[in-house]
Amino acid sequence: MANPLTTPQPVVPAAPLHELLNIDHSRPFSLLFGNYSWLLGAAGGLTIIWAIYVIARRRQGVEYRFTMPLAVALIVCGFLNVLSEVKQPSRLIYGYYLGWQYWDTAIIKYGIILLPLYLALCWWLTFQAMDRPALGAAILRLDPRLRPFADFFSLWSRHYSVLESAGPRRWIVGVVIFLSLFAPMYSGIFLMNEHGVAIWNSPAQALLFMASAVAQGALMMLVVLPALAWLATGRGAQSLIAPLRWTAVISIGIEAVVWFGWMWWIGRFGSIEDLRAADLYMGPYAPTVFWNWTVVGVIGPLVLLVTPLGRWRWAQLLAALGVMWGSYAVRMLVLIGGEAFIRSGAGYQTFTPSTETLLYTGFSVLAFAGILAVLLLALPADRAPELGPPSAR
Amino acid sequence: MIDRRSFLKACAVGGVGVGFGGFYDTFYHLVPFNDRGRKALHRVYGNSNSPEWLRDHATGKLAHNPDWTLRHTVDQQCHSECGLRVKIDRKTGRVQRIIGNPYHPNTLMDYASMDTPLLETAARSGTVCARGNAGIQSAYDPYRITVPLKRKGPRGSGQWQPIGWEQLIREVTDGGKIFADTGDPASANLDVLGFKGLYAKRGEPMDPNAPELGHRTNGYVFQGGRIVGSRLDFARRFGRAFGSVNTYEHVNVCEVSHHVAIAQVYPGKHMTKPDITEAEFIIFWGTQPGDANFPMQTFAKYTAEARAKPGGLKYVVVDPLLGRGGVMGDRAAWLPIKPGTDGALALAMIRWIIENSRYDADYLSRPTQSAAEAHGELSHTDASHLVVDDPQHPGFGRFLTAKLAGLGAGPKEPDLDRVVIDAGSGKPAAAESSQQAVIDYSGEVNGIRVKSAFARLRESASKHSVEEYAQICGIDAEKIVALAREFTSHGRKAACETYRGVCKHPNGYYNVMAVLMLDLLIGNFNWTGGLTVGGGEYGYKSGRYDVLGVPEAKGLAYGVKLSREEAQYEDSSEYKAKVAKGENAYPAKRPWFPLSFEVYTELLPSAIQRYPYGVDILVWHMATPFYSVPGQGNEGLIAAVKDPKNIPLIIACDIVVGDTSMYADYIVPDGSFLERWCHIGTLPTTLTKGSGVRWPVIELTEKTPDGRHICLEEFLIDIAKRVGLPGYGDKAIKDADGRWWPLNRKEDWYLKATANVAFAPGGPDEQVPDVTELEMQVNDLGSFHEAFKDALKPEEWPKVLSVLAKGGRMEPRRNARQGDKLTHRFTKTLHFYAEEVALTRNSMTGERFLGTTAWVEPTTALGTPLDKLDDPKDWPLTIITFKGALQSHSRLPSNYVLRQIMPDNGIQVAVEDARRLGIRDGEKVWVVTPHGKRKGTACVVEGIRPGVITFSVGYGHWGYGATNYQLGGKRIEGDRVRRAGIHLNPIMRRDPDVEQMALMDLVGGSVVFFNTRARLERDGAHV
Repeated sequence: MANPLTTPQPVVPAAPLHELLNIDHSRPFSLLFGNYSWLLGAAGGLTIIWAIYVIARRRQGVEYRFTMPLAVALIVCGFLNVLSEVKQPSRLIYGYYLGWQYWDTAIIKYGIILLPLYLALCWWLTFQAMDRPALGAAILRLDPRLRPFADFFSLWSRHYSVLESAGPRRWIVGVVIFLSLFAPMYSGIFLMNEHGVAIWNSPAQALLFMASAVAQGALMMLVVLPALAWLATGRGAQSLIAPLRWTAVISIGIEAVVWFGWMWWIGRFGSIEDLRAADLYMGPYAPTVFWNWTVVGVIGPLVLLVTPLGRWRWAQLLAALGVMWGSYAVRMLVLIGGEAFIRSGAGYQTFTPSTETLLYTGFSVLAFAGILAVLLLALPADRAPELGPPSAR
Repeated sequence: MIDRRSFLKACAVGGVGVGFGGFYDTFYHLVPFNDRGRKALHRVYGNSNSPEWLRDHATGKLAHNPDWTLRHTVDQQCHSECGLRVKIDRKTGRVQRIIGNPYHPNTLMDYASMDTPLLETAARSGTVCARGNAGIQSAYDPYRITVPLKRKGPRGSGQWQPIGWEQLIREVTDGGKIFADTGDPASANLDVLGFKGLYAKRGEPMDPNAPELGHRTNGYVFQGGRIVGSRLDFARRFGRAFGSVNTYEHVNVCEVSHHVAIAQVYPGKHMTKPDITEAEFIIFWGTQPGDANFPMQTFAKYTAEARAKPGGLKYVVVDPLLGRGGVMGDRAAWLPIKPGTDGALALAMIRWIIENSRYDADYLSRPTQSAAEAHGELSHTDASHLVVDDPQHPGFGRFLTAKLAGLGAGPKEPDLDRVVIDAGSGKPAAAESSQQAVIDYSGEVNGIRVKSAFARLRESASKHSVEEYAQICGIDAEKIVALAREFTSHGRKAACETYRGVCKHPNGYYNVMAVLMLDLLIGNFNWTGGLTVGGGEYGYKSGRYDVLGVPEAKGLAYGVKLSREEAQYEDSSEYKAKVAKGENAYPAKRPWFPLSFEVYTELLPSAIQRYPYGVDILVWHMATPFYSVPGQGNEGLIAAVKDPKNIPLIIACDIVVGDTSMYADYIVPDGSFLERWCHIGTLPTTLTKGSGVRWPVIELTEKTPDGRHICLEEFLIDIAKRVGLPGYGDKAIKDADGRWWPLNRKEDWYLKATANVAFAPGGPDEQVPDVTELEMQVNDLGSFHEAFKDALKPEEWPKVLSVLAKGGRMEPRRNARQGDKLTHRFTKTLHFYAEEVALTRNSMTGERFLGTTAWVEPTTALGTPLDKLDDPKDWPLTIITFKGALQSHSRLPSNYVLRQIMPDNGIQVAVEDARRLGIRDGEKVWVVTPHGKRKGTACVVEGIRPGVITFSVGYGHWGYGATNYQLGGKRIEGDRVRRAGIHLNPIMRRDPDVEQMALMDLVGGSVVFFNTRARLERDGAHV
């Protein structure tokens, strides 16, 4: 031995150092990232399935009728979280009237253009997806002084219906599909712009966010939309179970393949920074990954949906809750993998959401409920026959 | 039962109302476009800086980018004093980037020589560490104060009122009832003396019965934290002109015992360092490459370079803590020693080395430098010099002189009047007349019992067996022997590097001395790959100008210092009076430190206890004793300082409202390190001669009415002028021709000091070239020159500007070595035996200190062993501290980029201890000491000796922006990032024998950081 005094070199394990608090030390993202990524993802999952329904000419039922109001509420809440997380919220709007160059260097500029467009589209389609005579009658029942406002907010939808014409419908559905893909993937894409965080420099998280979004969109359609329908109309309704159930199953499967494939890829080809981030998933964050995502977000819902249990409404509800939780968890895990990693190798950050971000999360839930309730109240109580029991279809 | 529509309405109202209401802050910022940002400078590169240098693609030539000013200055984020290249936006004046100055040896292995054109350094920038890079945030700290503040309410109430410069100067100078407007009943009627009133008493003795205490003007005390080089001399010059000896920097908080010990072995020097890159084996004692040291990044860089060479450096770290930058690979090892027992390990090695004849006997036998050089040596020691060993003899403890030995009159120079046993004749002989002497001698000379210095060391080391030493220090005897064998297997290319970990103990001086003996035994001094005291510096004090002299104030400042350093208790009137009364004069009320200097930690408790006298005016400059001194941040001392009756006037000069300056009456805003002046020598590690010049590359504080940026120097100048001190105003500084120059602004003084540096003697390749046109342009020196051109003679400017443009004056790297010899050598006698120490008595016990190092158990001031003071059964752990690579002691909480990397320090606990105590990694635990408890996060690690816990200093602030305060009636919110982490200094062990004194090394004067016993508790449950 070269040096008789050499003692065995201790391998110092990565030790947790402190809470990961966005507001404390300028880490780029906080719990609010999880919020808006999840909210916009859910909206995208919902609207892409809605678009497929329209292509399949299923322009009836709760899925067609109530998806868009739900998406609108989700998108608006997503925006609230985005505005609360960024340091210069006004900058997101500033460029609209001062010019594109005010958004130079910010990858979020693509979202600044497309996501409001997405919101506007969903808002418009909320009214376009309604029974036009019923909408017209509802507006006519209003005080004449209020009718212009109602027309304005409904974009004069009582006078036309673009979805009834094949040409415009094709274009609109195309735009909806594009934006529905964009919304869930975008939060994954702009993570890639955070140079220097190796694990984020991968398209995997965009695919992961997309797959989880479609899964939760399908299951929200299955369990949430009937509830909305009842709240809006007072009548029971049901979604189409089988297509949504299997859409969710396939999406969860894709999600699992992407995650484990990604981890395999890192193990095989990843840089040292990738490996150290992945070590967090395998080491200190392994229990978090296992329980929140693998068990609650993947295995549990798959068991509930693939087996005959999946025909049972409470099983669908449990699966939906699991998928929604897992969808949130996978976003936070990707976030933590990039932010908790200490480049000096000193250890890793532990994640404890700050009170402020927890409060914003709570307010987001309330705001979501409020917006949705406003929309359901504002929309005319639908008497359309297609909202009958599933057996009628 | 609520119906469906009502439910929806409730949801709508509640959800939208509360939900959106919760985002009010978001809307508040969104709607008025307050946070709209600005247009990016570039479509792709955004707001990224453009480069400092531009390359013409056609010709390939580099040119300076006129958007930027580049200035070279010196860092002060820690004490490494690295050269900086600061990039400043020429339009906004804002610093954008800090990198290393390529002309400075700390930042590059092969740094640029003074004659290297600036353009050639464009792509050859030096490095600085994370702290250096983060310095921008120290300068632009949002908690910076830029105008003078006066307390409102009692001291420490956290309420401040901005005041004007003239009011500040008038009040603190003229004194009177200056606190009548504070609303503090305790001081409203206090008649404060002020500088003018105190200066008026300059002819009065402090105590008529104790003339050795000097004048009343010693009641002015300047307690400086990190203040060094010419800036310290600026403050000292003011003190001397005022008539006070009490100007201090912080050294005993750091490692003064190590400086004192080195000065005993290497007379007049305070630091030795290994020639790292050429050494084959180094033992790092109480430090390690990459830890705080002189200089940190250079140490790490040199070690990495040396380690990477084929057959290169091997090293061992002796430290209870394995630092991150320390031990890597099979060329290095870690010996986790028990805290404070380094002396035992070193003495065990000494014993083995002597018993096995592994020392360089021929080298040690040369009694003088001439004899040594005649035999190819580069230095000599006192190994063979004889010491009177008879306790009954009046010369006991002194070196035997020629006269005492019966050899007639010896040389007039006392240091040369030594006697040896000549190896040829076997008889006593004057050292000067001997070419070779016996080194291990015990016997009688002229009837006097004597021993050689070497024999004394051998006997001292032999008091314990290697196994006993192993038991004391907790390192296996086999490893001790292996270490000693390895150390003595590389000829002169081995060295010991010793620093803070060894000396911050009650026995710190003796520990360091023992380590230093190892270097003497192998004769590595002045050799390539061995040990050096470095190349020194280009003097700033004299030459073209006498910047220190104030002839009219000569003799005014004298007497015993408040800290009782550099003075013998036995010379005091107090001692003599007790002896005259037949009383036992020991112990003194508080210890005296005749061998030490800068005993900063004794200032506050001495002032409160009025021993040896009280303080009228206390100035804190970058001083934070409550935060940085072990045991001083306690309620009792803080309450005493808050009482204006104890110290009537406290003025802090700080860049923020700090952890201690928050208790001042006034705070004078100071410039950050990027706004200051200072001339400071390079450190021995870099081997060559050099002086860095720190000068204001930006200035951010408000201006005085006549346009000077407010800072410490302008404060002292204006006080001096209002009081009428000599050495200030229009007749202040004398040049070499006898002409007087004014001192009305800081540049009047510092530029002359810079001229002294620029024109200091040096070899042909050390000369300073004239400043070039490009340097003037890049450094933007034209306006600087214009502003201060009357401060120097016209012919001096080209070289002075050249020094500023390069951030100092450095000897070329090529001059470091001459083959196997170092260029800069120190040739005075190196000492095994510290005569001065042997003749000095401990002012508490009356016993003599030891002239030859030995294993000394750590005790309190009156000799209680620490194990008896705090029983290890109740207090099973020992606290040590460390300065990580990301923090200085107290200064960097504003550096958020560093806090991003390490937001919390935590309590590091050994895996073995954690397992035994059931503590989990990341768990909150209480650290309990005999003086209190603090809560922190447990970090369970492998790299620390079981039984030891540690924390990185620099965290857990209560000032420096960590807590709220009022400024002009406006509430300034504290930032919890600065509060984060744990700080244990306030609950560290105090000495029960002396009021409000931390444990201390009474020989070397260091305060003790590493001997506080503790236990860990978990949520109230004792574990």
